[in-house]
Amino acid sequence: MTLLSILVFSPSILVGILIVHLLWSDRGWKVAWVKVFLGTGLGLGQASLLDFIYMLLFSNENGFLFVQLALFAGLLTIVITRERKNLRLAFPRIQFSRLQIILLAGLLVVIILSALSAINVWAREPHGAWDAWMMYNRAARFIYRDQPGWLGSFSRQMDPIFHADYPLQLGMNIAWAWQAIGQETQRVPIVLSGLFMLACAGLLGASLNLTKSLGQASIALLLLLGSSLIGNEGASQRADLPLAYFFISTVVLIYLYASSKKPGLLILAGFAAGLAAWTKNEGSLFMLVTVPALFIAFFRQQPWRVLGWYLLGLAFPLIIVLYFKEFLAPPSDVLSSGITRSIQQALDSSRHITILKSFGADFLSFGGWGIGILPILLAYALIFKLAPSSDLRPAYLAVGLILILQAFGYYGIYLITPYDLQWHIDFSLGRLVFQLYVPFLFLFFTVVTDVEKALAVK
Amino acid sequence: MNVRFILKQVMLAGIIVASIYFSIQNLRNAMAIGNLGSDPITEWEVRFNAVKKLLPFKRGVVGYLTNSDVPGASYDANNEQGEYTLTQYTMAPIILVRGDNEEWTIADLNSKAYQIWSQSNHGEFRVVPMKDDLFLLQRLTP
Repeated sequence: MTLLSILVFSPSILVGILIVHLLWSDRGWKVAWVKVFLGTGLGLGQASLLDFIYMLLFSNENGFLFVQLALFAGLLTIVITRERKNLRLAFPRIQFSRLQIILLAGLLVVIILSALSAINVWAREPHGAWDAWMMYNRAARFIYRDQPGWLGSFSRQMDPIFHADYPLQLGMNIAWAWQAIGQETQRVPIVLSGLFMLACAGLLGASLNLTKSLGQASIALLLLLGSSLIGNEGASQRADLPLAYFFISTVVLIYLYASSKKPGLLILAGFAAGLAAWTKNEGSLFMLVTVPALFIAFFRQQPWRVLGWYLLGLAFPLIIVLYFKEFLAPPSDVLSSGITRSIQQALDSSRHITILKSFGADFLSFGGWGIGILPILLAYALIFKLAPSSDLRPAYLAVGLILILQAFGYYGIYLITPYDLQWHIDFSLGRLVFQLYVPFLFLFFTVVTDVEKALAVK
Repeated sequence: MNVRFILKQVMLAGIIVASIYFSIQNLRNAMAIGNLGSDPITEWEVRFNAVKKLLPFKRGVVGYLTNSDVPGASYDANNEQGEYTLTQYTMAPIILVRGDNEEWTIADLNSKAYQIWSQSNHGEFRVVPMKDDLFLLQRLTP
């Protein structure tokens, strides 16, 4: 059943890889790995969006897998037609330095341990952590178990604690895979969480290997996988890891655009940001903050053109998210305080102090390493020194602004939350920091001196 | 070899060692979650299988009653929300709403709570008793 669950998602992943390749035609093995990991998540994202439309039109049918297979066949034909003169496989000559071998050996151990952690979590909690089964797997059950009446999943009669307003990326993917397999098996959400874990860690590593060096990619992965965030948190089937994946996808694609000026990368970045909004409500905030961040960062480089390409990619997921929020989803509980109470809360200085204290405490402890990973990165930057490239200033600015604005957005949500503030912070802050930690790691290791260079000079 | 170079090497070695050490801790934590043999959610689903079969429809709204809804009955407040969410997850695509105002209600009551409840609702419901403190109630009066 596990193999079948993997196979059922393969056409969607291949569709994603082909879409990425069609919009970003660069070649080479390093690029290919980035395309594979971008294609994995974007492919799963497009499948979820298209299944949403499919269910609106043909909720009695079980043929969505054939839609994905047809899409794959169509895209493959286009790619083969376009590439038939360039189809050459040239295997790279791989030579590792002693430093890279040490780093890769350490990384291999950590990868094996993380994989064992994930397998343990899946075996012991097959339905996932509390949020996972209560929100995402529950949504998938509503869609799968009553296909003709699936819109009842968003009934106002549903208790708000089940968050029927949450976007459907995970729920739709799980439900259509169950439909395709013909069985409601927990292997499907487990495989889905595994694919996002792989894609998230893989994209961080592959993108740093492409833009910086193998050593740089290895250290970033050691810091990501060594925390409990991928092996344990990622395996819990919550939406935070897929969301972090779409954050880093957007950020990597914006960075790559800044260095190559290929519009296809911006279209993909917009698409990834839209998929973030289709994954979790925090993704809608992310989608909003990327627009001014891009405008400011590329202000001297035809900002309207940049935004145009970006919004082109964003349009499809945005339309789906808006349709879902406007016509199907019950109101969100986070914004249920009302304007007057929200303003009162925002003016309450004790709430600011509580939030700032919690942000500070999380900064000092995040990652589960006793001392926080973020202070470790600060020390790392002081020792290895920053080496930003002046050509990539818009990329650093865009990514930096996105992360800062997103963090401010989280701050604002805590200010106006209708829930008990401390409870809300305790329940969610660690996961919010995790969402930003993955793209932050990418930004950090693009700015700091390559480890190979730093250790080449004594 | 200057001090900064040594610091860089120490930093890298520290990151590798810490990453491996905490990965082992993470694995230990993962191995401490629940039991391999029994999954509480699956057990909860088995408990409600009979209720699902007896309900005359597969979608719709059903009431949900527990000890906490019965004045005078004792209950564990810590489990209330968890059991409600578990039952909703189990019963999907049926929507559960708290209380007994719907035509059909699932009651999860211990014997004392059921006694108290039945004294004050005599004749208003057809009661189908089931295993494990579960009752399916059908409202007879509108």
